[in-house]
Amino acid sequence: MDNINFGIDLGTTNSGIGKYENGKVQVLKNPVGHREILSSVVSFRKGRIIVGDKAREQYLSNAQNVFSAFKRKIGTNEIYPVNQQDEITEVSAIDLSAYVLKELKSYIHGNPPEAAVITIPASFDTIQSNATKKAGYLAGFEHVVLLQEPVAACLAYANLSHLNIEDEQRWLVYDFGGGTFDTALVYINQRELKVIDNKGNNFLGGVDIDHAFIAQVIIPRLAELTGDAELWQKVSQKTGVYEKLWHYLNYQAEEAKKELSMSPSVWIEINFPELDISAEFEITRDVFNTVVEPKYKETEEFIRSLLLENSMSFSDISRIILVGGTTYIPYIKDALKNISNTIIDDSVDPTTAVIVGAAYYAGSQPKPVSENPVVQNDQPKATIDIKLSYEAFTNDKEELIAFKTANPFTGYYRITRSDGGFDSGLRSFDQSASEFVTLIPKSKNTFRLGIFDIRQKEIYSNSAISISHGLYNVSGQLLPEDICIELDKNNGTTYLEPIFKRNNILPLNRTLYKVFSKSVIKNSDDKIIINVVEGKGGTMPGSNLSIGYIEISGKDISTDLIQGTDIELMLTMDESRGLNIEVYIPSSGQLIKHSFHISSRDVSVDKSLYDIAQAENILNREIRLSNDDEAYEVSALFQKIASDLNSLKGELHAIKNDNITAEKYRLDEKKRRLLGELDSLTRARDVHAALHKYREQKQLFIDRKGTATSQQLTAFENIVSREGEFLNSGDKHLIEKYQKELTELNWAIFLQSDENYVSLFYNIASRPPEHFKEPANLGFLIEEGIRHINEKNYQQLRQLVYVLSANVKNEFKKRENPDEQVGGGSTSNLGLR
Amino acid sequence: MLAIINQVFELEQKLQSRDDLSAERNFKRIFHEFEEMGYRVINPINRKYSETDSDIEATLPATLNGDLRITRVLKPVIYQKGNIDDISLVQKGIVIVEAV
Repeated sequence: MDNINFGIDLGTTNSGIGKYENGKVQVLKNPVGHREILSSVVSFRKGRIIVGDKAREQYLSNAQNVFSAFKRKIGTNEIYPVNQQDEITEVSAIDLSAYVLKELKSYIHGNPPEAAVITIPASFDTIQSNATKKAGYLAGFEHVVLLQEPVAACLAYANLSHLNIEDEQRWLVYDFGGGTFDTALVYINQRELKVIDNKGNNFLGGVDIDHAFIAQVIIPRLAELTGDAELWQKVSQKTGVYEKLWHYLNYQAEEAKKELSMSPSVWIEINFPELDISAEFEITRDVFNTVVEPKYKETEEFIRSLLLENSMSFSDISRIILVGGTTYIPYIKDALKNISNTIIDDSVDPTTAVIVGAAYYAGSQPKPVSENPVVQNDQPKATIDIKLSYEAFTNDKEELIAFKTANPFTGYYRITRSDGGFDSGLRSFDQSASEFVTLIPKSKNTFRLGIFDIRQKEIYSNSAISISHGLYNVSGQLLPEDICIELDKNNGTTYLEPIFKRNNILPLNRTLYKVFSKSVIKNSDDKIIINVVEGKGGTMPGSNLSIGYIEISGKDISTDLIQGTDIELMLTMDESRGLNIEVYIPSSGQLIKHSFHISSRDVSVDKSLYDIAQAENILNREIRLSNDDEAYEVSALFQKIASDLNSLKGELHAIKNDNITAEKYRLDEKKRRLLGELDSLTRARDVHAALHKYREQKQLFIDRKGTATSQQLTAFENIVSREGEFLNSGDKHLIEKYQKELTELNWAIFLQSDENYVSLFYNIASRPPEHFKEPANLGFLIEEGIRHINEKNYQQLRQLVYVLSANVKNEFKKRENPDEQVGGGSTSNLGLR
Repeated sequence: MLAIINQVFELEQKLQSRDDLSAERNFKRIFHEFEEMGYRVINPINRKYSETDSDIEATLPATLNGDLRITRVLKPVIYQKGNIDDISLVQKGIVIVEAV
C-alpha cells in the first residue's frame, strides 16, 4: 500500500511542503522564485489572486484585499470581504488556507498527490482542526491527516539526528517564528511522541525584534549623526520620503540581524541620498542583545509558566528543540542554555523543521482507504481544448499570450515562466483571455499555462510556450554566419572563437576580455594582429573571410605591451553589418578605434602567407599519417592541396608590393577555398577525436566520483550542464576546452590520495636519467622514496615526488594533449589569447 | 558566490551615488566574469513595477496611484544559467518602489 509521503507546514506566517522518498525528506521549492518558504498571504487585485511573497508586497498598498495570519481565525465564523472591480465577494479563513495549500501543491512535479499530512498548532481545538481538514479537501486532497506542529518538529530532530531514545523523556519545543511564538512540552519514549501541554502568543515574533532594533538602535544613531532629533517621529509616520527610508531601514536591520547571528559586530552603512544621509556605524552583538532581551524574556515567561502548570522544572527537560527563524539569534540560544542547563538542539534548520517532520510522518502513514465527506470529487476529469497564440520570436520586452476555448468554460488560468521570474497569479478565465508576459532579454523564455476549473483544480496545462527574445526574428536582420575572432593557441597555431552567433538579431555588441600572448616593445616593428572573420567557430581560421583586420605595431602604442596583461575588445555590428572594433589597453589607458565595412575589407598578404604556413604544417603531418596508414587516396588529396598552396605562395610573394590591382583579393579568395578544402577533410575526424577524449575523461570522473570533494562535484556538474552548448558545436577547440577542465579535475582527485603518490613515484623513478635536469642525486632520492613507501610515510613521499617532479625536464612533462606545450614555453603569432 | 556578487553590486552602487564612474569599466568586466561563470546579474532600477514580476521582492508605497517604478535596488536579480536554454532565478531582487 502506498504511503502519504507529502507533509505540509501550514503556518501563520510562512508555509512549506516536503516529500518523503527513499528514507529521506526533500523540502520542495517554489517553481516561482525557487524558495522553500511560502508567505501565508493571499491577495486579490484586479481579478488576480496571488499567494505568497508577491501578495505580501501589497500589504500596505492594497490592505483591504490582502489577507495574512488568517490561520488565527480558522474555525471561526469570520468572513473577509474582497472588493474587486466594484464587486464584493466573501472568503473565509478556510478558503484562504485552501489557496495556500493549492499553491504548495503546485511545487510538486508530476501528478498532484491525493493525500497529505498537514500540521496544526498544539493549541487547535476540534473545530479548528476540522476546519484545517476542510481547507485541505478544498485544495483538492482526498485524504488529510493532521499532525501537531511540536510533534512534527520533534520527529524531524529525532530522525535527522538519528537519536536512539531508550527511556522516557520530555522535550520542550521552542518555536519563535516571524510573527508568532509557541512553546510545547512533548513526551517521547521508544514508541510514541505526544504533546503534554502548550502555550503561545500570536503577536510576538522576529518582526517585533526588527522594529525595536530600528527604533532603539539605528534611529538614535542616525538622529545623532544628522542632528534631526525628530527622525523617529517622521519615520514612524511613514509618509513621503520617510516611508521609503522606513522600508530601507527594515532591509538594513534584517541584514544586520543575520550578520550578528554569525559575527560579534557589524558595520551598518546607511546611504540615503534622498535625505542626504550617508552614515556608517558599528553595532555590537551586545547592543543588539539589549533589544532582543525584553522579547526573549516574554517567551521565557511562557516557558516558566508552562513548566509550573505541569509541575515540572528545567531539570525534567532532556532537550530543547529550536523551531522558527528567530531562534538563529545567538542570545536566545545562550539564554535558554543558561536557564535550563540542558541540550539546546539546533541541529536541524529551524525554518523547515516542521515541514521535514510532517514529511517524515507522511512517509510512515498509509493512504486511508476512504474519507472526505465534505467535498465530493468523483466527477470525471474535465478536458478542454485551448487555442493559443503568441509571437515566438520578439525584440520587445513584453509579449502577449492570448488563448481561448471553443466551448463555454468559466474558471481560472495562471501563467508562469520556467526560470521563476514571472507569475501571473490565478486569474479568472471566461472562454478567452490574454496576458502580457515579461521576457528576459537575449534568452529563450519558456512559459507554462495552466487552466483550472471553478474549484481551481487544474484541467489543462501547456509547458512548451517558448518565446525567444533577441535570438531569432523573421522580420529582423539576421546574422547569416558566425562572426569569430582568431586567437593564439599554446602550440603556435591559431583557432577561431565565436563572438556573435549565426541567427542573432542585428545590431549586436559584445566586449571580449583577452590577454596579450606576447610582448611588443614601443617603437619596435613587432605587432599584435586582431583578425575578425565571418565563418563557423572551429573551422580553420585562414579558410574564412576576414571582415575586420587590425595590426597594432610597436609604433602605434604609448607604452610597451607586456605579455600576460589584459586587452579589451569592444565589438559592435550594426544592422547593415558594419563592424566597429574598439581596442582598449588597460595598462596604458590607450583606446584604438577602427570601423570596417564589408565592401572596404583589408587583405594582408603577410597574413595570407602566415595562414598558408600554418596549413603546410598540418598538411605535412596529414600526408605522413595517411601514408603510414596506407590511405593513399586521402594522401593524394592532401598532396594536391599542398601543391596548390605552394603555387599560391609564389603568386603572393610576387604581388607583395602591389597595392593597386585587385589581385590580392583574388588570391585571398583562392587561399580561403584551398584552406576550406583542407578543413573539411580534417575537421570531422578531429571533432570526433575531441569528443572521444571528452567522454573518456567524463567516465574517469564518474569512476572517481566517490572521492571527489563537493567543490569538484559542483565543477563537474557545471561542465556537464553545458554539454548542450559544446557537444554538438562541431568546434573541436570548444570541446577540448571542457575536456581539459575535466582532465584537471581528474588529476586533482588523483592527487588527493596519498597512496596515488606511490604510482606517481614509480612512474618518475622509472624514467631514464636523460629526462632529469640534475641526475646526480637521483639514486639517493629513489632510495629515500622506496623507504618512505615501505614505512607508509606518505606525507614524506608526497614531498619527495614534488622534488623529483621539479627535476624532470620540461619537454618530458607532457601529461595530456600532445599538441599542448606544457611548461615548455609557448609560442605566439597574433599576440592575443 | 551570491554574497560576492551582492558585495560587488553594492560597491558599484556606492560609487555611482557619489558620481564616481572611474571604476565602471572594471565593474563591467567583473559582471562579465560573473556571466561567464553562469550568473546573470540584472539591475531592475527604473523598471515599471508589475505584480507579476516574481523576480523581485518589492516594498510598495501606501497608495498604488501613479506610475510605479523601482527607485532603489538593494539587491540585484540574479539568474543562473544551466545548459544553453535553461536558466533559473537564484536571487530575487530586493527593491523599493515609488510613484514617480
